[in-house]
Amino acid sequence: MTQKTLPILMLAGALAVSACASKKEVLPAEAWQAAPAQPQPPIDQPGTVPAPEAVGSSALPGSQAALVAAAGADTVYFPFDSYALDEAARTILGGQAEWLVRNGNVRVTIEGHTDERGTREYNLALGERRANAAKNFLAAQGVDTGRISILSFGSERPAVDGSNEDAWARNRRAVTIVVTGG
Amino acid sequence: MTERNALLTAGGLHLALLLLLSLGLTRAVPRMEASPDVTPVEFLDVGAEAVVTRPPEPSLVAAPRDPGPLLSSEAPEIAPPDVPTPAAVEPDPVPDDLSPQDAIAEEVRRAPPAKKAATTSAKERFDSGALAALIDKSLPNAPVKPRDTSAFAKSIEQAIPRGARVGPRQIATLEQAIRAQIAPCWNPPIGGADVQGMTAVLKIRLNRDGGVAAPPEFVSQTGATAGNQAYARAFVETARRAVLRCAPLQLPDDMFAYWREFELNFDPRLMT
Amino acid sequence: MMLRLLLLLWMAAPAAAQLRVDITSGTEAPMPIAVPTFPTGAGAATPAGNTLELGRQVASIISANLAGSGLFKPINAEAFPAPGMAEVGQPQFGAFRTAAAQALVTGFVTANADGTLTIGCYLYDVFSEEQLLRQGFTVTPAGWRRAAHKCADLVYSRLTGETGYFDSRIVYVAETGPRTKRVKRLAVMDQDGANHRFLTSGASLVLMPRFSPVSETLTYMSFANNRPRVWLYNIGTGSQQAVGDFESMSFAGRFSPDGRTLLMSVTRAGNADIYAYDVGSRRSTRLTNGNSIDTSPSFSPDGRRIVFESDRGGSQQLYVMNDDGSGAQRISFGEGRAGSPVWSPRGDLIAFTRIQGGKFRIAVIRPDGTGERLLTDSWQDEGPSWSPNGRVILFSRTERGGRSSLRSIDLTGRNDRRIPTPVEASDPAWGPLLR
Repeated sequence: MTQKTLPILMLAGALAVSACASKKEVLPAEAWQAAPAQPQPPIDQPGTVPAPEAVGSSALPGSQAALVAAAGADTVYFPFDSYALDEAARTILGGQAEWLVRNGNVRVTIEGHTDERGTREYNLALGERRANAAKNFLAAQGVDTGRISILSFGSERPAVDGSNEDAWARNRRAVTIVVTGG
Repeated sequence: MTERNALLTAGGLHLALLLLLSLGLTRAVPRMEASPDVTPVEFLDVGAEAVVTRPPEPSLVAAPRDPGPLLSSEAPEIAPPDVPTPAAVEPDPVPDDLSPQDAIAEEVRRAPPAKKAATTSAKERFDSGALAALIDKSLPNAPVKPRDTSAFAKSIEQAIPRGARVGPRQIATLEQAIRAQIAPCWNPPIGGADVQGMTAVLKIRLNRDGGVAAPPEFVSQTGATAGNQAYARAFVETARRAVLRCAPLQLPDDMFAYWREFELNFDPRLMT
Repeated sequence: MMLRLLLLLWMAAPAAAQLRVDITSGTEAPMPIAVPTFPTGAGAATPAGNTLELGRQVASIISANLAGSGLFKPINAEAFPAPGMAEVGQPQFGAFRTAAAQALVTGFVTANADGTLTIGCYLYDVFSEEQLLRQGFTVTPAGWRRAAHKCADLVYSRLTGETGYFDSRIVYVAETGPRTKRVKRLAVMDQDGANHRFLTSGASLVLMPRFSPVSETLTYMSFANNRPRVWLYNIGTGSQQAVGDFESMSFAGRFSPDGRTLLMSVTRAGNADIYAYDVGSRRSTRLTNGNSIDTSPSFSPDGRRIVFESDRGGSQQLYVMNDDGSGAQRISFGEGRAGSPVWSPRGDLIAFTRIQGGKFRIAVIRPDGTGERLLTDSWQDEGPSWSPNGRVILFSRTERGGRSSLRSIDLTGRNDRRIPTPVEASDPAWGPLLR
C-alpha cells in the first residue's frame, strides 16, 4: 500500500462500510485519482454508520485508527543499521498483536523503511529485515502469519525530510498498515 | 710514460672502431615496426537492416510507459515508446585527396568492396602473434633504477681527445638535463589497463643545435602483448611526441659527442 | 697486454656503448588537440540543417566528447581559420603547431544525392605530420550526431589505445517532487545528454535500471502493484515483463556479459539471496544461502566470477564467488563498509561505494582485494557504473539534505564532472557502445 491509499482506507474503516473489501492486488494507482468522484455520505452524519454488531464492540473495528488507539502507535523505530526491536518497540507491537488477535479479520502490511544513509540495495534489504522482525514478533504473539505481509521501501519513502539525526531516527521504522478491516 | 700514452691512444682508436662496428651491428638487426600503418576499419559493423530513416524526436515529453498497475503477472501489452533505434552509421573509407565534393561522394559510394579487402589485410598485419611474442621476451619486471653509466663514461672518456675529458659526474649531469627537458613534454597514457609494466626505448639523434636530426627511432618495448597492441602503439607514440615537442633540447655544446645520439627509456611505473 | 685491453673493451662496449636515459615521470596534463570546423564545400540544405552548420556542430560534438574524457584539451576553434576541403587531406600544420596542438582532428560534411550525409573523420599528429586516421561515415540526416560520436571514438581510441565510449547511452532515474513523496521515472539519453526521453510515467516507483550489454533491453526494479520486483523493458519495442514469479521482493538486477543471465537479489524471510535467472528458459538458480543480506551482484567480463556485497561477516563488505555460487572470498577490508560493487568491463578493477566516517565515496579495488583507491570525496556518492571501455565511472551524488545528480569520474580519480539532466537524477547506468 502506498501512503496515498492510507487516508482512503481509514475513511472506509471509519464509515465501517463493506466497500473496503477491495483487494490490494487489483487497485490501480489511477483509482485513487478517481476516488473523490465516488458518491460518499457526508462525514458530518455519524448516524449513517451501521451499528458494529458483528464485532460486538463499540470501537470502530478494523481501522488504522483503532489499531493506533489499541497499541499506542502503528510505527516502531530502530537503531542505525539494525533491525533489533527495543523495549518500546516490543510494547507497541505487543499491543498491535493483542488487537490483531481480537480483530481476526484484519490483515496488515508491515512497511519497512531505512534512513537515507546506506546504499540503495542494502537499504531495501534492511527495510525488509525490519518489516520481517516486526512480523515475526506479531507471529510469536499468536497472529497468523497469513494475515501479515511485508513490504520494504528502503530509503525511498522517508517519513520526514532532512539529513540530521532526528530525521534519520524518525525514518528508521516499521509501520503496520491495516489492509482489510472487519 | 710515452709508451703508456701510445697504448691509450691506440686503445682509444680501437674502442672508437669497436663502437662504430657494434653500433653498425645493432643497426643491422631488423627492427620491429612500432607503429604499423593500420587503418582501424574493423571498428565498425555495418548493418544495413539497422538503417532507420525516421529522425528521433528530441523531446522531453514523458512517454508514459510505466509497467503500472497489473491484474496479473503476465507481461502487459503496451505500445512501444518513442525510443528510436539509433540511426545507423555506415562507415566508409574516404579518399586521400579531397577535390570537388561530388567526386568524393562518388568515390565513397563506389568504395565499399575495397574497404573489406583493407580490413583483412590490416587485420593480418595486426594479428601478427610473432611480433607480440618477440616483444614479450623483454623483461617487464626489471626494477627501475638509474642505469650505471660509469663504464660508458670511462670508455668514451678514452675515446675522445685529451683536454675534452668528461667524468661520470658530468655524464650524470647531462642525463639529468635530458630528463628534465623531456619529462615535462611526456604525456604517458595514464590509467590504461596495461600502463603498469609498459616501457619503450627510442633512439634519439640530435643536431648540434639540439633539434632532432631524424625522427625518433623505435628500439624496443616491454609489456606489449597480443591483446594490447593498440595501447602499446599509443604508448610509443606518446614517447615519440614528447621528443618532438621538446626539441630543440638545450644541452652543453662541449658534450655533443655524448648526446648526438642516445637512447631514452620511457618508463612510467613510478607514476600513479 | 694490448690484447687483454682490447678484449676487455670488446666485452664492455656493446653493453655500454650508448647513453641511455630513463624517463620515469611525465606530465598528466590533457593533450592539446585542435578540432576546427569541418568544411563542406558549398553548403547544402538537409533535414538536419545546412551542411555548413553541421560541419561546425560535428566539430563541436567531437570537441566536447574529447574534453569530457579529461584526457584531451581542445584548443578554441577560433584560434584557426576553418580549413577548406583541400586542407582536410593536406593540412597546414604550422598554425596548429604554433597553437601548441599535438593532434589535429579534421574532416568534412557533405550531402549526397540520395539524401544521406557523408562525414569524413581525419586525425593527424601535428609534430610528425603523420596521418593517424582516415574514416568516413555515411548516415541518414538523423544520424549525424552518432557519426560525430563515432569520429570522436576513433580519435580517442587511436590516441589512447583504448576503445572509445562516446557512441553510447545512459539510463537513469529522474526524480521530482518532495523527498517524502518522490516521483521517480526511468529516463534514457545519449552519453552527452542529447536525445533525452522519459520511459515511465512515474505512477510507480522505479529503481536501479541497467542496460543489457548486448540488446536494447533494460532491467530495473518497479513497485508496480506494491509488488517490488525486477522487470525487463525492451526500449525498442516497449514490451515489459516481470522477471520470475517470486512471492517476495526481487531487486538489484544486472545482466551477464552475454545478456543471457540476469543476476538479482530475492528476499526470503527478511534475508536477501542472489539468484541467477536465465532469460531464455525463465529458470532461476539460487547462488547464495544464509542469514545475510547478499546483494548487488555483478559478473566479471568473462562471466566466470561474480562480485557482490554481503553482511555475512558482520558488516556490509565485498565478496567474489564463482558463477555457480561456490568459493566466496571476501575482498574488501579496512575501515568502514563497502557496497554496490560493479566489475569493470576491462576486468582489472571493481568499482564500489566505500562507506566510512559517515561519508559515501566511490572507490576502486582490484578483484583480488589489493590496490583500493578512493576516487571521490563528497557526502553521499553511490552506485557506480562503468563506461563501456572501463575507463570512466558514472555515479549519483546526493548533497547533504538535498539534491541528487549524476556525475562521472575517470578511474584515475581525475575529471570529476556533472552530467547534466533536466531534473534531479540518480541510479545511472551506462549502456554498451551502440552498433
